[in-house]
Amino acid sequence: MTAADATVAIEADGLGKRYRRGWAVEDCSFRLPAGRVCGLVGANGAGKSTLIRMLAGLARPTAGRAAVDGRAPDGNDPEFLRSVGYLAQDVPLYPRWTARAHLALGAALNPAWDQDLARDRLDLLGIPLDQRVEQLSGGMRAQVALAVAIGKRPRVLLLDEPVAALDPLARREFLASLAVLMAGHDLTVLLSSHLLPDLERICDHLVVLVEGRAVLADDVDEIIRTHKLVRGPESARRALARRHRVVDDDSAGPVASAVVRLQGPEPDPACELHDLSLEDIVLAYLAGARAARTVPDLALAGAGEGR
Amino acid sequence: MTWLVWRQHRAQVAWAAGALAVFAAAIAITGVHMADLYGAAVRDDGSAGPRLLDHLFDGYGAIIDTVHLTLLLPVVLGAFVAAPLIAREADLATDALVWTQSVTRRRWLAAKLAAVVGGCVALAAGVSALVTWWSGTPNALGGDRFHGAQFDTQNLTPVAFTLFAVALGLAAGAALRRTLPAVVATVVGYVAVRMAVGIFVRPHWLAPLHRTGGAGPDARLRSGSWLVKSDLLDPSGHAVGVRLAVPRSCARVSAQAIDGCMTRAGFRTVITYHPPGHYWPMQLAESGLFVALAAGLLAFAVVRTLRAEP
Amino acid sequence: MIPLRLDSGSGVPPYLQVAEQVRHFIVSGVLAPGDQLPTVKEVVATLAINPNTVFKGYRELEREGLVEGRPGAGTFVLRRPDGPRPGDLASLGRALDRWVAQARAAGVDDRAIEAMVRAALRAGGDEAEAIA
Repeated sequence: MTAADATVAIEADGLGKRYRRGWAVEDCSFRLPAGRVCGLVGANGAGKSTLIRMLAGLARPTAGRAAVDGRAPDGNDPEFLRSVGYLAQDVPLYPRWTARAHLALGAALNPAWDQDLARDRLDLLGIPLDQRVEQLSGGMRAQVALAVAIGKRPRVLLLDEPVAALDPLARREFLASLAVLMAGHDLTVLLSSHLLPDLERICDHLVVLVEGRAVLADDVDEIIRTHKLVRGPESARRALARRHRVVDDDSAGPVASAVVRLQGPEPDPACELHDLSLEDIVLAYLAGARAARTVPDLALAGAGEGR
Repeated sequence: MTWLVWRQHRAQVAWAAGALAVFAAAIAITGVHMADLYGAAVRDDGSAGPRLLDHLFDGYGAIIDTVHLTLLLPVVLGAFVAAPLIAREADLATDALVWTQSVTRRRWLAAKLAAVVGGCVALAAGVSALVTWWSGTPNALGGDRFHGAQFDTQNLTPVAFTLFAVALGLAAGAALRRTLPAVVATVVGYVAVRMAVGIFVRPHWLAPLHRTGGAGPDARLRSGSWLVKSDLLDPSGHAVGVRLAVPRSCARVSAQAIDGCMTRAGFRTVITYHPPGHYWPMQLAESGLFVALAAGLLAFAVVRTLRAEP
Repeated sequence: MIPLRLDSGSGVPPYLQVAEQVRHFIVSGVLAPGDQLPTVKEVVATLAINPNTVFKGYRELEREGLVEGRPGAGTFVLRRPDGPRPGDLASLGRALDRWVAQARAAGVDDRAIEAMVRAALRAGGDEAEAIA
């Protein structure tokens, strides 16, 4: 359906946001093709929320530019607002309103509102429409908020840790309903989380944020294909650094061992190549960045853009 | 936006409409009664002086107090309607919800402000009209529309005060982004400004007049004047402080004759006052000040909210 | 409901895992020619995986000529894959059992056995796996 779309749903170019305490997002660049479910992963405080709020038009960038569905994020641009949906981290709802009232809010504030779509989702999930949302469980509240976000039929959906506060079953149900939504509609999703196993299932694209920078941004299949654990003799270490991108080097002694992104001919045949899970690869990026801060003389390619 | 504004404020509108209806009924009934009473008393007694009619409205204490209570309307509207408007959205984080629908932030703010500012000003105007009409009779009796609570609750000033309080509430909400601090700030700010203006600025909108007379209680002022202050001067022209040194010549004079004695001894009373003709210019001046303050606060609230990053 | 699983640690891309499992069901007869494969929505509703994964997996099978996607109707099984004859499979299985027994007797543990099998597959593998 949409896996090979040429259009770019989200584009960040040197994006940065500075607060008094420092840069929350710094020189962040990546491009997300349309139709993907993209996971935005990083440690707490890595800048995920700030990045998403900038993409949603709620925060103004200090540096750089962004484009979502081809438009610069702007809370005063009706076309932008119509095509981009956003769900904030704390799932904000009016506590004493019912789910029905929230849908009515969506209908009142969005000219292109699909009441059937929003209503059917809640009915299918068994969410009571006439109870105050403060009385609903966390998972149900997340579904109500999601129904409001997608009822206007956005082209891009930005979700900021929507499942962080949910129990595992509610998380799985939320992601499943998100997946069903993707299957039926022309939609791109950017979903931030610090829980990698969730993202691994549903994301086909990944952006890894370390201290406000995108250190990796690519299709999941590509990431898995090109990242290997390489083990070999000491002499292989220099050859590695020359021709490939070393993500994290945890060599000890005479044996070189590193997570490497292969970008050339295969390394020294004396090296062993091992496949890596997505989680291992992401952890390598997070660890590698930390190591780069503390031990600068390791043979590491700098943490630059992910592409 | 009409749906949203109504949905969020329908409870407030219901309360206000109910209270206004009850108030209007009470005003209408008592106002007519009091006017009749006064008219009858004036006819009966020929030229009715204020002293004769002093106890005419004794039984009407409750409604008189209620009318004076409308002094609180501006700060109530400012603190409990205007301050939570923006602050509560920030408190609940629902600003991130409403600002990411298809309505632009500008349009959201414009609709909200129009409704709340317009509604509160309209309510204040309605209440002021009722109070001003009702006060026609007590004003005629007491000639006191120029001072204190009467100046604050009749004609233009209550509407201007309401506009100011609402703007202050909006500004506090936009700046503090938490409901309780915004409410407190609005109340404190309103009381402080109103008191400061009332004490230091109001007497000087127009230059007050002075009149010197014999020692004794307030000289006769025309009905509808505002006595700002009254000073007793000793024969050398200094204002007498708390301790009055009664001259020996008047030490054993009876209470009724003490004033005449003091006057002959050289004591004078100087009163500072505004004649009735100053009433409307000062209503306009004070209202103008508060409207200008409101405009500044509204501008701040608008800019702050449009730049907010929830 | 056809049970599909996802093994996130295996290093095999998820869409290929989907294709492999469905191919296995076709080979073993659970899905016969003419049967409809589970719809994408059904699969993702249960597994909470990306629909594109299922699409790509089904397209892989389509590429191999095993299934056919009919717009608006779904994806249907065309034929069983040209596989080994049942007898070949059985004798190959027995040979494999013997080899595993030999390896274990020589002290090779199961993980090393797996690595050896993977390396052998890769060595003879198709160009899609080559790192250009």
